[in-house]
Amino acid sequence: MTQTIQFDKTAYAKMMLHATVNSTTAIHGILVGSSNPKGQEQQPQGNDDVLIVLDAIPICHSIPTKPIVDMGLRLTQAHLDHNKIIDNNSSSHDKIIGWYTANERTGDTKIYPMVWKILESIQSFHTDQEKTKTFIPIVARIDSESFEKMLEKKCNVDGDFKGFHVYELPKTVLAQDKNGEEEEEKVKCECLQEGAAGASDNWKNVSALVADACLEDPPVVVYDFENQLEGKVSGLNKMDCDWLRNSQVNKIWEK
Amino acid sequence: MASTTIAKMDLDALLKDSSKSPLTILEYIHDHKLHEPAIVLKLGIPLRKANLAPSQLLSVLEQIIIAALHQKKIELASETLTQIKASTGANSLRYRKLLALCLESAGDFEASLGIYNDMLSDNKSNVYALKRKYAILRSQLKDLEARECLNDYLEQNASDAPAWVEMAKSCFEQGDYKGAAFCYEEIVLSSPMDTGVHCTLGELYVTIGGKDNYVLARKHFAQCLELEKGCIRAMFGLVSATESYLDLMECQLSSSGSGKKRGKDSCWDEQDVELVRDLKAYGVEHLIKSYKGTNMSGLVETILSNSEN
Repeated sequence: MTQTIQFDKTAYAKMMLHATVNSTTAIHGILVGSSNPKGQEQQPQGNDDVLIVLDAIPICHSIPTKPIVDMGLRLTQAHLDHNKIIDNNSSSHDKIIGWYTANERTGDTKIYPMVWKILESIQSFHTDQEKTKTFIPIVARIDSESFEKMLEKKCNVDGDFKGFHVYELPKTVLAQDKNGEEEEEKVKCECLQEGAAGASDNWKNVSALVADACLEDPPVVVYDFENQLEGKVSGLNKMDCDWLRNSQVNKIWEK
Repeated sequence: MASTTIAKMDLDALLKDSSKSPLTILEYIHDHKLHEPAIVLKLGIPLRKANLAPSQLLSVLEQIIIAALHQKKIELASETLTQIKASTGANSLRYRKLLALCLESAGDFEASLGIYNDMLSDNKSNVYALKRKYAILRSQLKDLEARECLNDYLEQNASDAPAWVEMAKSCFEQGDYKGAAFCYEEIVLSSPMDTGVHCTLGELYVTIGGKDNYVLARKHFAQCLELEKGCIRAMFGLVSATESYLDLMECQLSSSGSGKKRGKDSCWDEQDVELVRDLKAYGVEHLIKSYKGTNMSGLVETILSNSEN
């Protein structure tokens, strides 16, 4: 089953900035989005499904353990539920649709077993909720070579060298684990969501702005859940350490 | 870290003091293990041809090579290395170390590995060679060989906590959480007062799963909170561990079919279960209290009150 994936520019920026701020460690985060465009009724998932990634929620900058992942997912879900209640205009279909990650080492293109396990739990959660169809979550892996080219502003309008690749949860992920050499199939990630920003929102233009933000001194900082935990009780009141929103990222588009 | 800051401040004072010779400053940088490649090159390059005692000259040349490699000036490093070779010969251990470092910087990892393997065949306890070999294998993504190399190192240096952290990282990546927990058990022996280590170990046991591991996990989270009352990560961990324990209990009791309650025939001790409930309530209460007044207090209350239902 092939999905068409579209990325919102803010989700893209948050992923890249999270990788920049934690450039020497692995990073992990949640992808939030919708499998149906706003205003349309839910359709059974088929070959023409569009999965729109609307937001990226940074979770940690170390290897994810169950308590951190579990609490991160629960807080994110509560945040989405809260947004639906307070904002009557928001899409009622926003949900956790996948995971993003970047490995610690340059050239390490592997997606490690724990990421597939996280995707499986996301899938089983949604399959339980929406019993009429099987939801296929995605993982976006930030690739060091592509990321380097993105920083050099070599990304083209088609999204080559945008900094990451997207994969779907394979049906036989358990079999692949045991094989050792995995061939994860990349899913083509289409152009950014067309929206109020207009026709200038293509991969080339947006990635150039994101590259500038990453290379600023100091760079635009993106906080994750682990940053909040490291800040301890005294750090909880820091309003700018808002890892669920990271609204400071929106300033990139004002330039 | 504080001593490094003080050393750097003293270095600034030394640099401003015109009565201090470049050699004195270079010795100061070397003795305090400061990372100042630009300063080393600026002061050291003129000294290459200076009339110094042989041991002093070799020390300066060695510092210049390392600084040049940090600044990616491989040609300068190579020239300086040739100067050392002329003085010490090619069989000197220190020369071979520097040669291997230069080869690593130039990207010739096979040649540098060859040198480290030679060093290890002369002396298999050569800590430096083992560490560099591990670093090369890990950077080349040769995880199996890197792990074997690190294993060899740890067999001889079991008290090296950072090495155990490296091994734990390698285990994590492969999904070997039991292996990672073993590594962190070694680390906690040398750092029993480190809250981060207890927290990580607790999280690992929750990740591995199973009744006994949930019990171990809550002990580590409790110890973490004993050492640092405001550790939110440990509070979340404690809630997670106790919830997992209770979920497992409910699952096992309901799947036993007869609706058998906890009792003396059950493996779930009533007192222990009550303790777990109390610990969970403690974690929930303290988390809600810690987040009170922040913009996330509502969300935290929501997820924790849902978990109580």
